[in-house]
Amino acid sequence: MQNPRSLAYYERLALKVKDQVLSGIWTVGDKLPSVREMAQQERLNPNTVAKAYRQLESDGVIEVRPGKGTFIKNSPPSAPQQTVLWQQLSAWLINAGTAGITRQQIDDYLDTNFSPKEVVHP
Amino acid sequence: MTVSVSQLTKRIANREIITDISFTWHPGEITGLVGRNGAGKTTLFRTMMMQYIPDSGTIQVDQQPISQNTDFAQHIFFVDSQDNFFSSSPLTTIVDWYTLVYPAFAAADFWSTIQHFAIPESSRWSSLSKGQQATILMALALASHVPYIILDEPFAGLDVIAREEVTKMIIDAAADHHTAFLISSHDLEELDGISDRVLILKDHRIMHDYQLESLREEARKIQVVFRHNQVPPLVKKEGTLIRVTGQVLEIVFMHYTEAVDAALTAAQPVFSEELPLTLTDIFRTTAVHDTDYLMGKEEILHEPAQS
Repeated sequence: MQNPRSLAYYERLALKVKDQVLSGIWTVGDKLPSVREMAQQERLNPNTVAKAYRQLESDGVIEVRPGKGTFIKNSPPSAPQQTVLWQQLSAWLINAGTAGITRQQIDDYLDTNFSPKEVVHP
Repeated sequence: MTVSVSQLTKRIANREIITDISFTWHPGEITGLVGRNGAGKTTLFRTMMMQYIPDSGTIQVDQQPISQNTDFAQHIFFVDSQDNFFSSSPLTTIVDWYTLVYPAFAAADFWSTIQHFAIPESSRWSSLSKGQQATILMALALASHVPYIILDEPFAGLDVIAREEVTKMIIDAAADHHTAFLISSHDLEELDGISDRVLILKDHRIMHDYQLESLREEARKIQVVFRHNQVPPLVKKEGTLIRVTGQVLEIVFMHYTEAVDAALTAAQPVFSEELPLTLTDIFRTTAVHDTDYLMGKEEILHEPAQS
């Protein structure tokens, strides 16, 4: 994962799963490891993993089927979330311009770090 | 059910080894206890378990104060790794003893763990490797089926594979049985991911009590080079310098506010990068004023630089 910021570990794990969904490691209908298995794999506190799963559930990435497990869900595009993200991007682009980052540098960055399919996260 | 330690103080040979220790230990919570050598970790455990009689203070299990006469073996498990009766006992003797003392002790669970790690049942304690002994302590703790387990330096002297095995057992017990752990360790990397909370013991007291996930959201670690080494006053005030490499300062902000962010930006540093904050960084932050740390380099932050 590229982002080195001091994220809470639950947030980092939720991002990682989202990233894996975007890059096709998980597809809709796949069963995620249980909280216990994921805690083992990531060597994380089970409470932290449970919190990441709750976050993913409320973000519409996964669904919990009682007695069956946790599954990757077909997440519909969220209009309000997209609006917020576009606003953040506009603000970022303005700041980037002020700091001297050129359009060409941004294009190069996108080309180098993102495959065409994988829009959001490297 | 919670375990509450209140204002616990223990003097040994007229020296206070632990002073006014208070904390509440919640069910299912993994708590790390860290402190430098001699901070009082083992003494705290021994006093909590009434192996030492406290000079003052109480320990309560579910609001019931415990004393030397209380049998709390159904609640809390602790093995003194430095001072126990095991020496050359065969495992069967150790198991018999735990079966007597811990009412819920499941010998079958113990033997199945031992078998899983291919430790012969006929072994004697003293003939086992450090890693095997650590496994046996964990197997005893888990087989006792108590809600609270104290582990004193469970990773000490273990190779990386054995450390991972111990961590795995802790995660399993927390996930499957909601077992609470209080773990003292110098292995901060091992504690980092698995702890909900960390108590930092310093000068015989609990100096900090951190919920790690909240702290990770609030705190930041920045690597920065300031122009002419001019550190903005707010950065000096709010930040703790944990490492200096040439011109590069590593600064931890426990509360990274917008004001701090603005001060950093306004200073137009030559170089600035945020790094992931680890438990090691948090611990360093609490130790920078120790006399053997940084060897006076913190002056860069605490005295105005001349340019």
